[in-house]
Amino acid sequence: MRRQRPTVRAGDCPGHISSGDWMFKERRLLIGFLVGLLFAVGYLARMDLTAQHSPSRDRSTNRVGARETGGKVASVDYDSAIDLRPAQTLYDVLKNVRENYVEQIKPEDQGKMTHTALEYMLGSLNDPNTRFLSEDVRKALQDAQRGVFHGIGAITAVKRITDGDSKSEHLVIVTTIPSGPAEEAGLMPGDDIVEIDGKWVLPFDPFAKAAAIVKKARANGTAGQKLRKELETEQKRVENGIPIYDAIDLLATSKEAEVELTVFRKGSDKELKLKVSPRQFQCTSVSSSTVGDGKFGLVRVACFTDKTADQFQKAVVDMADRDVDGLILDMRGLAGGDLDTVLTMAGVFCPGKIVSIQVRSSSRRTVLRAPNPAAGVEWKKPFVVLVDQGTARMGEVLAAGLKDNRGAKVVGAQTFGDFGFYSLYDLRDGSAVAMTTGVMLTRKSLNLNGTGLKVDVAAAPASAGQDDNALSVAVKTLAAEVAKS
Amino acid sequence: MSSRMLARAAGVALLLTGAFFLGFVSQDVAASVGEVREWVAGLHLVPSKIERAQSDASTAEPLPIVETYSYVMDRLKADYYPKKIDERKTTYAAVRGMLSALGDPFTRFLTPEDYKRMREENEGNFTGIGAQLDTNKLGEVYVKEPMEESPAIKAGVKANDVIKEVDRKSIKGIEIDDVVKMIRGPEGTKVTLTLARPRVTKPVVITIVRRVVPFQMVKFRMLDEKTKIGYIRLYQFNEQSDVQFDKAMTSLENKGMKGLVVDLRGNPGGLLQVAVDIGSRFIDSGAVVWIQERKGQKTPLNVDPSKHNHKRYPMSVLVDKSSASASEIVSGGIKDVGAGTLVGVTTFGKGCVQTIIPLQDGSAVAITTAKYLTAKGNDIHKKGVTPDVEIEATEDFDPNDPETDVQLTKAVEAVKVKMGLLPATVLEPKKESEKIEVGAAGAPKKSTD
Repeated sequence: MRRQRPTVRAGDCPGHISSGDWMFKERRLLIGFLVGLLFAVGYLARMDLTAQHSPSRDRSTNRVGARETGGKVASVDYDSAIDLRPAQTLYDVLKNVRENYVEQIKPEDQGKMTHTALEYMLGSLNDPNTRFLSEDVRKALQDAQRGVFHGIGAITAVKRITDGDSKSEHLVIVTTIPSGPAEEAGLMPGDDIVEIDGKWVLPFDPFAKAAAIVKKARANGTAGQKLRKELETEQKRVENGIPIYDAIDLLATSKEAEVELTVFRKGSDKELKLKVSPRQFQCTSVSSSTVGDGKFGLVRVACFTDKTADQFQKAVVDMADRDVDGLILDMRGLAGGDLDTVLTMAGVFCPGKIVSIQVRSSSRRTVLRAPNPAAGVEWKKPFVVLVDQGTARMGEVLAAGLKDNRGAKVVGAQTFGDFGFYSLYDLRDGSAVAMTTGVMLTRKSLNLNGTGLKVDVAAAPASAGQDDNALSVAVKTLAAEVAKS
Repeated sequence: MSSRMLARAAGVALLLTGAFFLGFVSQDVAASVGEVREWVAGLHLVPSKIERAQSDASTAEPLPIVETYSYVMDRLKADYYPKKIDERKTTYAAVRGMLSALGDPFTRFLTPEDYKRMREENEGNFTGIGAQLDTNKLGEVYVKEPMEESPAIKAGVKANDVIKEVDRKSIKGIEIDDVVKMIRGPEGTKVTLTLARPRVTKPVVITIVRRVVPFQMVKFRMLDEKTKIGYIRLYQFNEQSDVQFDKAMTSLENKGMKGLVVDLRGNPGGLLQVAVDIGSRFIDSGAVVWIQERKGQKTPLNVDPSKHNHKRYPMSVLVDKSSASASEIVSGGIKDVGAGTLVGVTTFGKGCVQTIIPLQDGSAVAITTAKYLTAKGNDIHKKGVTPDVEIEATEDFDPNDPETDVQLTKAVEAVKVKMGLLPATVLEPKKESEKIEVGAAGAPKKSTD
């Protein structure tokens, strides 16, 4: 009997021990402690493993690579040791093409080959924010930093939408830039752009729908003429389509006199056709006024430029000079933004405090604190933050930081939910590479990426021709805050 | 008592290892929730951070490929968030992108899987059971045709058997390509099929040993016992093609062949050497094809006289718009020397040769290394070979019913003309179409009538 092995389950407690309950309790505490400890050890072991994993692999492959290329092992510094094999493949292909292709490769072909190589390479990651930017697109971005916009003037998103059996990517308007063509043409946030000048906006896998049709036909046992027709229609649609990345670029850089957008709008059963006239226009980054019979200041930030931080500080100082009781920070539709600008803006309200925690690859974390502003710039009186679903990226990060540090009430609608960190790497010839390089957590380490920041006081946006409802709600909320203090 | 102690100890140990395990597999908060649902993508968005990538001052020089690729790959490996990137996959994409800039669809990258499939196709062999599969109207996978002499036919697999299980695993809902993969395997291993046979109630279970099976590259038959016109269809030009073509000729000769129709419709081409081999069978001497490399000089690939092992027959060759490459070398050569009448529609027009260069990681690159000119020096690139007798397939053409094949009927007529059985006028365009042409082009003439 004694030799028989008992069967036990995890958490099986020796419940039949009646004596020594006290002892048992303590033991349970000890076990609990050990469980926690081992959890932590396991977690750390994993972290360690992931950190150690790649260098050890690199070391072995580097040797292979070195032998094959006839070089020597370059370095024992694991961070810089590279797996040479994939690079070798690229190099070999290039060498063979140069030597054997039926036509001579000209030097100018080389630049084009580099561009398409980067385009495909980054495109294979299926991440709209990690991509190659041509010189034209890079210039448009540079202009945007100065507040000069091109194209239709809308901020768009690539959204994965379930459509029947398949999921596909759609190009959706997040917000329109104030006084831009898109706003004038009546485009609305949430509009799903189906076609541009009659060309279908293609998802990442343009043949997904065709595949679904074939699969369905196979399951139902239908075939023949009807199926062939359906597939032919689909094929034509794809052939005449425009890839989603090109569509984004086109909308942001178009110099056409007019583009016709076919959009699907929630609540209307028909697709709408809207004509938009792209042009170059200026966006005023910061504007301010007083509201609530001059009692409160309203500072609106409509877009991020390289002057935003300075202009914002000036606007706040101006409000302080006017001795208003509170401030409304209007960040509706505010998307993008660089880190320094946002930290400087946060410094006006919570100098020295943690605004966000940036997580980068291999779990590197950087705690980001707001800098101290110049004397007299700090705003200590009450304020509220006004946001909507077009408040994205650094706009959201700032709103979350102000809420966490100053308990500022957030009014409006839940924000977009893009807390990603995006870097741009300029290349020598004027083109660039954009890349997702991290995520911004809130001060309390919450990850709101994909969900967005919830509001304390919800306020519906105003419909056309009506007063700004959300602003009225913000004024009321601010009045209550001022009364409390 | 001691067993109870053991039980407790084991329980605690399990709990503790469980805790370790949970800790080990638990994800970073950021990594697990970081799966982005949607992305803001507008280019009006100022990026969070801008870095000057390459230290040198900007320049108008084209960016060097390898150096730029390495720089971006390093950045991806170090900074890309949150996924670890698959370096191989990403590099293959870069290679594809690089080649796409040449604007030549035939210069392309082959992944190790692509390359393996291509080698298999060129060798003309695969290891399996040798049965052609298809899906029926119910979406079931069935045996369309077991190949002659194949392990499948020897084991008793019959046409129209529906496959239910492979190695006792149900294949319901599995795509046909994946079923084929399940059935294939190394030579000498066994695969067990559970088959539903029409008019047999019980499932038929057959175990088959996988063998090397040659692809059937050639199909042939005697079209007409009276006139003795033979028919050979060639599906592709691979290492098996010439041998199988030779066998087909011998077999038809043994049945007393007097005329021949060679069908190259839908044949996408294949190996250059095999095109020369098969072309040699119909050309007396000189070049089958001319190869022109970058430097511009032309090199002939000459007729191999050892291929003159059969009699010549009155012949016609069927071509269509999918007859490409090697098919165009052969049909173009036959047309140039007048060895046969070409019937059908203008061919694809691919007048270039690719060299497949294997790379060290198992992948390969196909590079267009030369243009070719047909036997008499004609460039057919983007032009194709125009047949002597033009005829389109009709709407109701059913590949399984020769009665509906008007092109084949015309090809047989062409052979009969050569055999002296029909007057040459049968091959001229129909009178009605002639009238329409004249009517359209010469309306004034019509009014004088």
